[in-house]
Amino acid sequence: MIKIALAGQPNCGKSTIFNLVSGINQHIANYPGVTVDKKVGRFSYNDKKIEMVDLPGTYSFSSYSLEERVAKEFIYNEKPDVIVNIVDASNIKRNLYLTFQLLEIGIPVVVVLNMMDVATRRGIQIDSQKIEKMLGCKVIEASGAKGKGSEEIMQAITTTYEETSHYQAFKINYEELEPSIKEIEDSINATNHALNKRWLAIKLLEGDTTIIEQLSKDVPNIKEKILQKEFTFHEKFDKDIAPFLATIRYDSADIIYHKCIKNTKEKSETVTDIVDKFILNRWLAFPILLLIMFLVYELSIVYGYKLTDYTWPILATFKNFVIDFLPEANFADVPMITGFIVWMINSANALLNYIPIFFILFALIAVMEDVGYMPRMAFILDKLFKKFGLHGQSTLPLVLGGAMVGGCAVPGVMATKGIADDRARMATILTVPYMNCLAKVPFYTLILGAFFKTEMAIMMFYISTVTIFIALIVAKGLTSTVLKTRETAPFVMELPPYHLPTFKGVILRASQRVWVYIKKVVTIVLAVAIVLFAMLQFPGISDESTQKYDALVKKSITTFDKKVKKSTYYDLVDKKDEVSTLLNYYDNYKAKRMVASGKSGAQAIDDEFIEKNEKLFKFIKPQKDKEAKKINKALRKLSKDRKKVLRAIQNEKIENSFLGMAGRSMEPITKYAGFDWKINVAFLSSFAARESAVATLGSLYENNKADNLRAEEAMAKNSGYTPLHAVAIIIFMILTPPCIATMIVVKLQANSYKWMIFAIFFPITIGIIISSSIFTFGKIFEVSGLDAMTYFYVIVVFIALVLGLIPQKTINWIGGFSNKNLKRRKDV
Amino acid sequence: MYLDNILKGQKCKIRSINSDNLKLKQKLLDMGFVFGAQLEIVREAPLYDPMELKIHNYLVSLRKSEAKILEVDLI
Amino acid sequence: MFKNILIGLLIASSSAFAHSAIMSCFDEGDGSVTCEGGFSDGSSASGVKFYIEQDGKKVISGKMNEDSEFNFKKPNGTYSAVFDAGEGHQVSISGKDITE
Repeated sequence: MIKIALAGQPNCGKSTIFNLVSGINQHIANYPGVTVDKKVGRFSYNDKKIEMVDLPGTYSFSSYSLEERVAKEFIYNEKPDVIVNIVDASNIKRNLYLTFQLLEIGIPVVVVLNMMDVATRRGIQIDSQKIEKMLGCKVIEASGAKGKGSEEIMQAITTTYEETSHYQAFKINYEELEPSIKEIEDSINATNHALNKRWLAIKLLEGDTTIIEQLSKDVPNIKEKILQKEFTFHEKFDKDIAPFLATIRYDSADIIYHKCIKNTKEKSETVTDIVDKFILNRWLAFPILLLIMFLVYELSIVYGYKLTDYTWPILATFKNFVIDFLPEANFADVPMITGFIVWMINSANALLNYIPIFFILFALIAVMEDVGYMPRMAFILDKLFKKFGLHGQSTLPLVLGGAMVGGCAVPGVMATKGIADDRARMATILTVPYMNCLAKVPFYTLILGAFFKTEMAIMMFYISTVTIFIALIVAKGLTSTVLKTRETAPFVMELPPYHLPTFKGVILRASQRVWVYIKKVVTIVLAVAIVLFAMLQFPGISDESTQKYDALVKKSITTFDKKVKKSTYYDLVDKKDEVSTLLNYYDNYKAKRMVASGKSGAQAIDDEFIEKNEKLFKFIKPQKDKEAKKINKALRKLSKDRKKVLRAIQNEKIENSFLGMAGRSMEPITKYAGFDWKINVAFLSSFAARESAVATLGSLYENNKADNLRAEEAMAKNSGYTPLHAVAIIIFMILTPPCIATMIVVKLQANSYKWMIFAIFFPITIGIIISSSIFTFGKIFEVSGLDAMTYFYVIVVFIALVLGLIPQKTINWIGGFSNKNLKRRKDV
Repeated sequence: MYLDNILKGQKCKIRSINSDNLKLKQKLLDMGFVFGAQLEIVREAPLYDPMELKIHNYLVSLRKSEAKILEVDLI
Repeated sequence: MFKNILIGLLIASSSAFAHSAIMSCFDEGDGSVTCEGGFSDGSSASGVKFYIEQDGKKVISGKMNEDSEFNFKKPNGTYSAVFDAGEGHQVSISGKDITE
């Protein structure tokens, strides 16, 4: 088996080549997130077994970033047979810097000049034969995006592998450093290592912590030896080793560049240059940024929503299909299993219904990533974000989490993987949950519809925009306190040239992110839904109540019986179980008919039900049959009555349930925020699954009078709340984390339960305090709902601005004694 | 003089990196900020920081606080 | 004015998102038609506006009753039954698609 490692700098198209050659689909990323998971592809080529590992993109092989350490450890521990170095042909000089480091390892290298099409378009002419000669290794031209070069690459790899014995170790002449290299090489000669001793020696002198750690085990005093060499080198030549090596490597790259590459269009402006003139223009940058974000949301939400018109019927049909297999209800006695499964399907469907929207949103974001706009967003926003402890790279996670109208915190938090700066990364992880979770929107709509019908516009505006300010304030707070001691990282960031995204790449990335949503959010929420079900169902209603409802049911059945006695079809419905069957048949028909599409769909449903029970069908559709009509009328009333009883039972169940008890026990605290037990229950259930907040709240306020009210109106009328209550509720909703799924992902990214618990309790505490303050003060000063919200908004924006404008104190000086032991005086 | 004082459109050459922040120093070296490397200031960000530079034929952005440590000569 | 458009778009997109509206209609066979409305998340549609439109005019107007239904006399000619839950949730079914 041939073991191959794929190495290359970020943005060189390494993953595209990987996909091309091994046929396995991968995630292409640099700026949004360098995946540190090693991707392995196993396949055969010409009867040879190949194992190919796609190492993370690295600019170099030093030891300061996680990706570099991972890549180096792989090579050190696994010792691949061939290293394939993917090089961005349009950016050769910088890419060759890594190439030289790879060549030095001593393992045979195959260089792949990728993106040849881009290079040619830019007028860059490359003499790859000459490079091949100069470097002594195979050089292949390819274009991953266009699918060209796969065969040649594999051919080169196998040939190189077969000719390994002829391979002469690659050496760069490091001139002044050579004697030191030799000495260190001798020191480690005794160690038994598969890797090239010279490479190890160079890495040791470079100060590579990974290699030093590994070799200290075999050669205990190696650390001191290296320090001594560093000292003497500095004394003798007034240079430090790391910069010295870097310079020689770049000079070598330069030699290749001058001898083998001709840049015919060097002086002219590229498309990138022209576009950047607008995108990064001082006055146009922000408007363009806002416009793009706005478009992304409009397209994904408005069009995604239109798509749900088509997806919802599919989900509903599935639900009806499953219901067919469940035990049927006996009037108001719904079997637990049926109730449970219907609850689970409803929860799942509500979540799955978001998929079209997320798919479009993620696809648009993937387009922005591929086009190269993301690094530019970071470039524009970095200064602003930095003021609050965040990083330019925090942009994508915050955008995914819902920067304007909505998003989902789960992919947002997952996208923080790539932030190199540890402190900013933690801050981002903890602030993404504050962004606008899409699932919170129905909740806002319900409350706004009930209490702020006329001011809906301005309230929605407040809600959508206040979150980013809150996120900034929280970020600043966290980085100044709890996160103060975390490591920060340099911002040195490449701005890749713009290029057209590939359709396949975009769809792939969007699908991957949607899949993450399904895997994480749906599974977790469903797991919690099970718990919720139990908490809302048990201990159930009292025996007394059961009797009461049984009596109601009996009454309805008696009424029904009286009405249909006179019909000639009476014998079909004279027994109780027959009536029950008919009732279920009728309700089932109605439910299915609702989601049937058009004339043919409706016909199909009719056919299905005729087949099921021809005799009873006429009671659903009596048409001209007067006798059947009598039964139909009575049936409708029966159905209505049953629904009423079911609703009443449900409400009582909730009230008596564990969750209801929990809600009531919290009242003493939450009353300061104006929350009664019903609100508490709604929040508790919504923390688990956002969607259920609306349903739970809606049903809690429905009462059974024939009021003909919409849910919003019912809530407004029956709850006894004022707009001020509503504001407190809304603010609490804004400040609390979206759902359990988000918390789980926070734990994953932060790698600790401690932070997850912090991420849960910190926002809830702050939420209660602030909601209570707003409500209590609002009540004392008799402030209206809208005014209270306005005050809140203004205060938040004000704090954010103040924090943003506090000048940052950074270290502004250099010099003095450095604390490196290089400067030890030896004569003391 | 230091890189953070160089203005848009100007070109300069690197003389040395003066910092004890090894991580930053290595990162700059890796990205090509070696002795003698030539660079051109393309622009400053809309909020005046970071700065965009062209070096070794590619574009890179650098915070001014990072640019401060690069000693350069105007060309 | 720009601000209004901006806010209007924000609302339309965000609140339209609450839940999908659905409706089905049956021809009763006795000269009347019953339409039943609902929402994808199971919320009740009672009280929601409903109207029949013919040639651009609302010929019948009302609200869904407590069973989320509306029964009306079948008009002559082409017409559309519209379930109007506001701001972007509207379901419209054309008369010719309403079967018995």
